[in-house]
Amino acid sequence: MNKTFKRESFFGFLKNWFEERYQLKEAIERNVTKKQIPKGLSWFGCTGGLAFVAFLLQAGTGIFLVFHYIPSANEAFNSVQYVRHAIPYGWLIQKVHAVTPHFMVALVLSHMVRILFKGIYKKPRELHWVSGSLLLILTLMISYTGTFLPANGLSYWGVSTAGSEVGMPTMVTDHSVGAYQDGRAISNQTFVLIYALHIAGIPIMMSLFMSLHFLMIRRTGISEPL
Amino acid sequence: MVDYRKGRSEEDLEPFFPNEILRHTLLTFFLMSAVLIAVIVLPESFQKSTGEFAAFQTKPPWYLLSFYQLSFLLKSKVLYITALVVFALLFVSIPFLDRNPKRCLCEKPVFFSLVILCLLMVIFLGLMRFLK
Repeated sequence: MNKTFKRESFFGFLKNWFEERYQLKEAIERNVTKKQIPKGLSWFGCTGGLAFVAFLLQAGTGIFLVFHYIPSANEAFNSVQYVRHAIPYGWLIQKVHAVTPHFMVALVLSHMVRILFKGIYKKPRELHWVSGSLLLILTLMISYTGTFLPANGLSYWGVSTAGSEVGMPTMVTDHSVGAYQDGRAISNQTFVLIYALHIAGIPIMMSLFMSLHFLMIRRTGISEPL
Repeated sequence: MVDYRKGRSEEDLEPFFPNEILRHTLLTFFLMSAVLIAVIVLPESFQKSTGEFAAFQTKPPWYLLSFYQLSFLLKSKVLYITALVVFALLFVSIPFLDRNPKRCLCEKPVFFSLVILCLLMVIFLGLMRFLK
């Protein structure tokens, strides 16, 4: 009884401490518990939110992989093998990170197609579409750079097919084609470059566009059901 | 921030919590389940890349197939990158190009045909690469 009382008073103290400073109760009531939304929203309207969940899943598993992956031509493949075979549940985390892009791209695509067919990009939501389509392009780019990094068969496919023929996407792959095809002089710099794009450059841009996207949705509200 | 109560009666509204939160939570669980099933079911070619065998044993992910096929068809590097940039720019600027006041795509026959044509082209390019 005494312990329960102490615990309650501790949580009560914490609650009051935060409430006094940030007025969380009012914010939660306004944005969650007492918020009203239009009736009849489609379940398909959740695809954008689900794509964000997939992004979070990728970020979470990616942070784990960052600690073990070595962006070097000689070590990349072995470091992924180490994660898969030597670290407890490493295989699970690595495989989740490898398969989630399929879902993420599918969700972003279905979200865009739905918006395109329903004409939800009309005034005042033009910039929602612009940020969303840029997010689709960035999602494809991050998935492409991701296939390159493990230095497995799929990575070779990417650079040998697209890279040797036209240099997709531009000069990044030109370096990697040289890296793979020269045989003797595999460039570590290529791995570092693509790794930096994959874990920092593209995710930072995605976070920026996502923030703008969500902020604009909050400002204009979701579209009326047709 | 927008207030959905403005101009609407109580019958036209529903609570965000728990209705919308529940919808998102349920679908999130479906997504997690699908990912875990894919982890078990999807095959993975995890062999070290060498020119001898890797190139013909693996295929790129489905969402990149059409890009690879286009790169195969357009031999010129400049032409390919220009085509991608032009396509991306057109895609990004759709709201500014579509001046028709009607919202639903099915009410705009020309635009509808263009969109369907583009979608079919992407699917066709992807299939061509997949079946190669």
